[in-house]
Amino acid sequence: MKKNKMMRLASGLLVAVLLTTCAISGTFAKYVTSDNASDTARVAKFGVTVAASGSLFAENYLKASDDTPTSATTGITVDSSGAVGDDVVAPGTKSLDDGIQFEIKGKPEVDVNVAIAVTNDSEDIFLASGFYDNVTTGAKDIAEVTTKYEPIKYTLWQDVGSGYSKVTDAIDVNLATLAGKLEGLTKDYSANTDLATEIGKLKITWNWAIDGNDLEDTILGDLAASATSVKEYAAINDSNTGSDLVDGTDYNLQTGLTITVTVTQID
Amino acid sequence: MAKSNNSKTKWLWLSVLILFVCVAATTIAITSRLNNFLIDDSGAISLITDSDATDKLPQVTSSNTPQKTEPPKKPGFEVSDDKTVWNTNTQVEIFRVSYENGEQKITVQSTDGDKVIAPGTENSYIFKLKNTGNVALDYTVEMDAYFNYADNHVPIKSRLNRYDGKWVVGGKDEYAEVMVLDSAKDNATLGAGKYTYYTLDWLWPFESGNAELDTKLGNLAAEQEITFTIVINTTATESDDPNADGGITPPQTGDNTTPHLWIALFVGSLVLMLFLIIYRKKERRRDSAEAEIVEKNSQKKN
Repeated sequence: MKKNKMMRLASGLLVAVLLTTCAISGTFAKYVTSDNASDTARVAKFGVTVAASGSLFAENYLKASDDTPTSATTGITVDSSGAVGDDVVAPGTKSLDDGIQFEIKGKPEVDVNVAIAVTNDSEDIFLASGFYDNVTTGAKDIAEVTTKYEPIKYTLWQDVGSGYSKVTDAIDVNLATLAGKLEGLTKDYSANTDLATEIGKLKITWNWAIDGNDLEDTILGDLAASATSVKEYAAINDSNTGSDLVDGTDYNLQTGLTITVTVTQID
Repeated sequence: MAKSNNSKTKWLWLSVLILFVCVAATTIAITSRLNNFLIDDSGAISLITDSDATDKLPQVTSSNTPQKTEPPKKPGFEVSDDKTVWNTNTQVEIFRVSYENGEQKITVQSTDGDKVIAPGTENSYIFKLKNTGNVALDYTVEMDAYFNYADNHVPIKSRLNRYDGKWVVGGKDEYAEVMVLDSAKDNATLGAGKYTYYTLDWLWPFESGNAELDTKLGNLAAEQEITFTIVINTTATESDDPNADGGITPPQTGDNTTPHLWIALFVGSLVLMLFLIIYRKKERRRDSAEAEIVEKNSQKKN
């Protein structure tokens, strides 16, 4: 009987301990929690390169007709008489080797605009149409140049992976037409376009035909030699109105070509 | 006589069954609403037999409304966006694989599925903090932002806004340099069942005024990875002020009816229906058996 009472008392105390433990633990416990999130991005690739090589003009040339290597004295048909470093052009010459080449490469992850521009300081050799001393005959007569004469003929080539081929409407053209054709290649490209296969390599070559324009070529040659005997006239039979030619208006003996390629991200 | 006793017994059982169903239904209905009717006896008036004991009457308060007992504490906290509920190290969509311009044309596109940033890209990220429990919480939002490239910082700008208009970083018409975001922090409270949300905006200006740096970074990125990471850390603790009541109350949805009574009635009806079906079958068997006995007796007499 006594044991039974003791057991009951012990059981009751156990229950009381359990109940109070639950109550106290609820009083001291405090809720704490945390969460976090993150994200990472990398800078989008640009990496577009424009590489240029070669040259259009030089101090000396080989014959345009056969392009065969010869000795320094016998093979050269044109020789610079100006200061060292002057590049020259003349009838029967053409651009060296493969002219000038430039290549646009890259696969940017952004939309881009590729702009090709011939800058304003580019100029071409020309002789304006008009009436001039007929310097080819030596007689004191007047000859007519019927159309503006631009002897340097440019050709644009393009290689998008299958070798160079001439670009349509850019074969043996004057500088203005070449510039227009180059600038016509300006275009927007979507992100991840491989520019090497879209634009690829571009090459410009030139030549000055030796035959077909003797009068014009001779006049330009005389002007280049600072010959003041060449006059311009008002009409074919008006030998009394001869005047000196004006550089830049009636003729130009300088040629140069500056091409700018700009690749810009577009929004 | 025996038949009459049997009939009485049957009706007795039927009555018992019906009464049982009614008792069960009412018990469930009462139980579901029991808490609302617990009365606080602090305003109870004791029975007094002494005639001049009116001054001993306890004061009757003007608001002697029944009070509810407090339910057990169930704290809860959840952070989420429109796609994911956060846990630990959750990957979220602060940056993207591609971006469109104002004409919905994709102008930036990752080659390999990585998330990218570039001049002209921007994005907004909204995350929600919700108190899913029944106790007020104090919470903290803390930001980390860092590049893996130390030489030049990427010219990204950012701002962080809380739902009630507080600007933690930047302002309504102003983005801050992105490193201001690093270690930015905000603290507030959330009442039970309430929520709050933050909007994180970032952008890389298309015309940052430093095209040379933008180009340098883009070209470097073609050779090595230049990464930018944003981490959002949230912590919630039970508030010391149990009456703290910050945050937005979500709209009430659903209804408050208790289905217990209807379920009890349905179960009771089902039981009663089954009982009646079984009872009628037994009745028919008994009747047919009795009819056979009567017929046999009449045949014997004949």
